[in-house]
Amino acid sequence: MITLPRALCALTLTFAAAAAQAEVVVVMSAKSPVTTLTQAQVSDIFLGKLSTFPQGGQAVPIDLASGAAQRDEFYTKVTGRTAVQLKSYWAKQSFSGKGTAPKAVSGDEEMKKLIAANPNTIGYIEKSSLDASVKAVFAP
Amino acid sequence: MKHNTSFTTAFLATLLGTVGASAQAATDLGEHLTFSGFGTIGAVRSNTDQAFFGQDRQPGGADTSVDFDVDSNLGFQLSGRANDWLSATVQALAIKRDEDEIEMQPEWAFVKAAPLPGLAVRVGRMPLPTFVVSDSRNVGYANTWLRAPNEVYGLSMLRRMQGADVTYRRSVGGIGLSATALYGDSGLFTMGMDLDANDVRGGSVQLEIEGLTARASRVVSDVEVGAGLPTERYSFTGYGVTFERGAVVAQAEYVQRRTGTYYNIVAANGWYLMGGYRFGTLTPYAIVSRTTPLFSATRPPMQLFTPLVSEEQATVALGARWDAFDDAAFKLQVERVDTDGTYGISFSGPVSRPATVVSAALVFTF
Repeated sequence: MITLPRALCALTLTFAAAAAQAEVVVVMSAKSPVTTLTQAQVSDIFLGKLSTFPQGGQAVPIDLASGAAQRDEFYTKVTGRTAVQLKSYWAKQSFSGKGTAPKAVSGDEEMKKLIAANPNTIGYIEKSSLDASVKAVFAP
Repeated sequence: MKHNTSFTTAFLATLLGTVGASAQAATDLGEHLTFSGFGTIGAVRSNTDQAFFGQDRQPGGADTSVDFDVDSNLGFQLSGRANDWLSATVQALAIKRDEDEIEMQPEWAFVKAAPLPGLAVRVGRMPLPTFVVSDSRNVGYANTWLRAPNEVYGLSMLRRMQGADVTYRRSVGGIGLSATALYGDSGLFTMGMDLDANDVRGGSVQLEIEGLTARASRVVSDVEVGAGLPTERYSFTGYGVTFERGAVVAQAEYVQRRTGTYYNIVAANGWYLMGGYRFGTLTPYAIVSRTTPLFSATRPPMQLFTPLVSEEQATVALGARWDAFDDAAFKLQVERVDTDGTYGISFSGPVSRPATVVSAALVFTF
């Protein structure tokens, strides 16, 4: 059973973490030959403008579901677009047949599992979630 | 303690993820098919009963009684993806076109192949790359404004084509470059006649640097104006710039419509400037736009026998988009349309004084 002070402490920490805007890193499978990407390349891949990595190979971006604070931070920093702008952008792209928004997962763990298993995928997680299965290729 | 915090974070993330996922537009139908759609419910009212107000040369339209047909539309899209390089898109759109009613038509149907990185080939029925938003003009949710400025978007006489286009896109050090070439057939509807527009050819080039996009396009076609008459060369040239950075959104276009023999009833220029600023979910914007018919003394005086395809018109519009929901937004636009006593390009007949037009719309995607 969680005591009140303990719960309060947890809550305070959660807000503190959110306020500090935990760092987001762009990750790929540890097995991928890609070592580093530029901001423009990451932006192009996540906006569907670039479908291959500069080193070759299909680029498959993986998104977090809309609404996640980490997702908003990633897109604002990397593409300069807010969540609202991004929705409008994908409406424009998809209804002109140019492309569709990346498939979305619900969190870091699911993201890592997917990324680790496929060297063509690219995603973003909180820096503290980094482990041996994935590697950081860009830090905004 | 640490365990507790990460649990809370994970829980919140899952919760947010679930809410986000449930509100996600587009529905996957199996592994290869996606169904999605968009729509606008729009109401328009003007302060004049002298003529009807519409867009894109629609018959009928709004006067002092509210009209729902000018802006309302509903689109369904089915996209299929066979593999990494082959896909197909079919879009059906219900909108008011040349008839005085909203009618569902297959807007586009094309197969797209990407045989090499950066290269895309499309074959089928598709939009012409005439404007900055020619292919998403009817998708209210994708645009800031309530309605594309008719002084520019209403000038184009070709809507779409049956044919093929090739696009090559390349990124060099943060600069995106793309070029499209196209060829096909189209048709145009003017003065009560359906005319064949053959050998539609042209293309567009586009440059993107950070939030700035600049483009130029040109489409040329040989139009069959009647049995025994020589074909008429129709051309449409457009230049556009968009700028999006931070809270600022700005867009401008300049277009030229030209023909040969019928120059004095068809030739016209149009331009607009649009600027907006995002305050969170609210985006107020302003648009100024103008179209001007051209006259050449060295060309046949066709205007003596037949009315011009479009006349002088200038509009100042103020509006706002409010992203009230995840997949829907409200828009409101008030504009003052001055036709200099003519029918301009948005009215069915002459309007003696500048008209005030008020429009409201709900735009959505699913």
